[in-house]
Amino acid sequence: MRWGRLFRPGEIPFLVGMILVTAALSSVTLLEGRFQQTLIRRTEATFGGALRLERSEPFPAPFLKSVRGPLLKETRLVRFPTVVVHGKESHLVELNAVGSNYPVVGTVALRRSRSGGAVDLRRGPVPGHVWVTPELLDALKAKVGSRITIGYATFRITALFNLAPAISSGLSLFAPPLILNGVDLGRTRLTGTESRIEDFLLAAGPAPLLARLERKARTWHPALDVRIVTAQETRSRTEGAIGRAERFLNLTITGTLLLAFLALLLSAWDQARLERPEVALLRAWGLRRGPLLRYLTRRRLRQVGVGLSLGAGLGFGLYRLIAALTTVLDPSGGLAPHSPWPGLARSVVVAGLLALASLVPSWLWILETSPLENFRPVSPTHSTPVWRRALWAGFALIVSYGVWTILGGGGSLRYTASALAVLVGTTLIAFLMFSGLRRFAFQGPADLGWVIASLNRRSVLLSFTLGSLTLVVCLLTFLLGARTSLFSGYQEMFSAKTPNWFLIGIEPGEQSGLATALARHHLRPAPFAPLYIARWIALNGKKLDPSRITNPRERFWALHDQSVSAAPVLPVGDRIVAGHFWRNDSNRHEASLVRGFARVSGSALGERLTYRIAGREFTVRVTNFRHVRWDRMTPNFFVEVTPNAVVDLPHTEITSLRAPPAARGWLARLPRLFPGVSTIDLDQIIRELGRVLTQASEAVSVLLATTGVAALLLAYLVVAVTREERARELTLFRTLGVRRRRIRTWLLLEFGLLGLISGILGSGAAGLLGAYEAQSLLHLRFHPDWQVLVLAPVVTTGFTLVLGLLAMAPALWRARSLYWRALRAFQEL
Amino acid sequence: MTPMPACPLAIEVQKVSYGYPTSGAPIEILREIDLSIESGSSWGLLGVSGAGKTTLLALLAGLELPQAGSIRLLGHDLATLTDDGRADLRLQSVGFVFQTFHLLASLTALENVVFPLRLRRLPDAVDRARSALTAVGLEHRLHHRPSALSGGEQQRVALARAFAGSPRVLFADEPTGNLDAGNAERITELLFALNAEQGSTLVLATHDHRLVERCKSCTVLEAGSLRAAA
Repeated sequence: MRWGRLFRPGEIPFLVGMILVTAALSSVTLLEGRFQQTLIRRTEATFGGALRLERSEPFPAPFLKSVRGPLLKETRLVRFPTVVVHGKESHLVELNAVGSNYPVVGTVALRRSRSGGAVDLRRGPVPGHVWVTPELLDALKAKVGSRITIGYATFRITALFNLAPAISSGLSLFAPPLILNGVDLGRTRLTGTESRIEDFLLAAGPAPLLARLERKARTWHPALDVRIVTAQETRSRTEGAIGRAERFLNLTITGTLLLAFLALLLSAWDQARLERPEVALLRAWGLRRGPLLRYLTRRRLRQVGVGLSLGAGLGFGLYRLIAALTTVLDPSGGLAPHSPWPGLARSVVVAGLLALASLVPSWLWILETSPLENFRPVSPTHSTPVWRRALWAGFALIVSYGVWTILGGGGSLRYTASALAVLVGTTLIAFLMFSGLRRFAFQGPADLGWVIASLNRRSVLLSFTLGSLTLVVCLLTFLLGARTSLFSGYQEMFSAKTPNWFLIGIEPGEQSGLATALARHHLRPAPFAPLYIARWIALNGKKLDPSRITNPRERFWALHDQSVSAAPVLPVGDRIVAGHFWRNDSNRHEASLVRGFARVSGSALGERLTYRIAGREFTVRVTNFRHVRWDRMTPNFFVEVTPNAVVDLPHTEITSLRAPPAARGWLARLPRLFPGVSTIDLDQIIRELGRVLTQASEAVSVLLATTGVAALLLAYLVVAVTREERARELTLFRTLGVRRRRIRTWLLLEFGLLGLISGILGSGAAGLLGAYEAQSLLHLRFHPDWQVLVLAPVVTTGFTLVLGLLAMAPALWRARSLYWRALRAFQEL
Repeated sequence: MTPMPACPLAIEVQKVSYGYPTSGAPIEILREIDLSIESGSSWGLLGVSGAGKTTLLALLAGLELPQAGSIRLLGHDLATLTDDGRADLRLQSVGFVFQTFHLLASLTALENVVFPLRLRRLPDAVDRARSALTAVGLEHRLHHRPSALSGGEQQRVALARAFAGSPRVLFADEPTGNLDAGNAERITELLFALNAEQGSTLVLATHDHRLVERCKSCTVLEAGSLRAAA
């Protein structure tokens, strides 16, 4: 069938609507599928066994010996952050030293080069070799085969990996993982007493053996102080993570579905209006309703088929684009295998259903209206009660959404309701605004009065369009402008004197040598602060049982080590907000907590906290709460204690300093001189953070753009369905003596105002959102990106102007001139 | 626009011909028509459907230019005026009443009358509009939209809109064509009463003999030519 016969000029909006619905649904579905796959793979890889025991100090050898058996597969993995050096480059990494049985489940996908094929291995690296991620390879400017230094030892990079069982962490963006053989750990001399490490025992095997291992870990004497995690628990956490990721996607899905469905409904009505005379004639000639309906159905099915195919293609393209933009967020490096077909099929089915559902009311309307009435040139909206159309639209939407959910599409009632609430809310605000303006329409200039009155002709629909446009503009502007402004604000928070390097893991014996070396390079570090790795074990003399603590934050701190420091005087910049800080000669055991930390962990003044460090316990009384200026970037801690409470306890030192760019190379090589010291380049981390934020914003913007196109299509159709009415009005104006230029100005003003109001509201809301996030949540000074904030209303105005004029084009230019239309007005078409 | 000259003839037509272009030979609608309508008079144009009444009215109002001959409206030669000039002339001095009312659906009755007055920047637009609507008996329907008015009421709003601007010439094309007998009678009374009151020139096209009988002069349009009515 020829294209011209399949789609008449007035039916193009329907085709666009179809393409848009399918593209939006399929791209969002595919993206969601990819997120799920990635998260699931990440979980499996992170866990790396059926049971995992975790300690913050090495497992005792007798315990390890006792758990070994022929049927139980187990291995150790020691993890801690450190710095690796290659030539002049250094980088913070998360070192993973794996045991001989690694991995107990799964495989490591290895590549010998960036472009080489992956090989699955069921073992770790041999001694002397390390495996790194491609990101780390780039950061170190190294290649496969290069030698790198870790602590006191050198290693050869022999392979690249993206995911490996049990190897992955939340730090991976800033500290990429690195794998070495556990036997090499000693050579690095990076682990000593009270080093901050995580020791994992990963196990897999028959359930009874795993249960026995779990029992043994709980009852071992002396207490192991071990955390026991099962794969099942992790899975539920992953599902939670997927759920969180789905929140945003759901809002986008529902918003797009709503907008696109409305666009389809409107275009179907518009199409029905075009078809009325044809159907009326066929009915008048005696064609029965049955064959007529079959004819309409066949035609529509062909149109829907074309729309679905084109839409699915566009959706797949959009998905690929977003996937490319989000590679940085995907721990598998974009390698997560994910078949697009189920998602595409689901989207196509639901989009088809939506399309057919949107067409049915117009068919019913055509068929139930008498041929005589169909011949009359009245607007279709005047013939069928609004409530009937609204009822059908609601029913069709619910059915389609139900099918979508049954087929496994993303979405939950809660988020659908949220999306609806946001849309209805913005629509209501827009409606009230238009109604308010309408009251005063003719109290000012006539031109503006007419524009306002004309904007109000389909006020509910127009308000919905304006609300949707506002929402989309707000989110896009926020992502494009405010988000980057926030990042700039974050960067500017640091003055020229703010430290930009942290030195951690300094052994007390290295302190003076390091200070001398720094002074030689004219670098002045902040005062060295002791860092104790402590476990909170009792409150007010009562031993803590994490399983009985209901406050999740409190339970977290009972299960994890804390960084505790000791200071004779209040750290510079801190402010006491409750209680009194101790005198520098105090011989009492006291603790000072950061106010926010005290609030979330449920601590109160006067409470006695007992900690354990390297098997030795000490108790301190909370005597004050502090407010800390974290932006000073000097070492500071949630918990500070009086120095005499931690006398002779093992610890390391930490400091920070401001270094010019010229000193970067020397600082990067510092771990060679002091192998226990790890250097953290804050500038590098901030740059990385900026890169990730930008890429994430871009990816989300592409997704939102789909919703934006749906909103714009709706704006086009709102004008298109009133086209004939407007055309008659324009003819009348010409007859009454209104100049052509004045009519054009009205049209431009009307369409422009729609975009301008949406743009200003959306841009303003984005600015407020950014300011709120900056000042209230992140405590940053907000620097609005005026360029984006001003450009947003301009671009939106441009879009609505073009779309409005396009929608009016057939009425404006179909006839040879407005004279002809004026003449026709007299002739009473 | 130059100030309107005071002239004894509201409309003067000389040798006007007009035809609709088609792919073949043009369809001739009007042939060498001559016509003069005195200011302040009422002139009726009778003719069957398709005779060309509406076309002639459109030409007289300057909505279209004739292919031959000349038309002077209120002393202006329409052919010498620009498109905007003709539009200004209509806005300032001409009123229209149509068969199907042509009210703006998104405006109330009052706004429908106020709007053209505001376009002319008349300072007392609202007062004039209220008076006009009161004159046609719709003072209680000022804030209703056309969809809430009956056909007769809508045509009265259209009359108020036409007369509120005190036009020097009023074109009425089948003003009672869409109304029942009772409403048609009422509109006819109003039309002639307001016309007499304001002293405007009424140009009325209809196929209704009873309506034309109320006019001071009457002409029949037949086969593209005018002839005096019997």
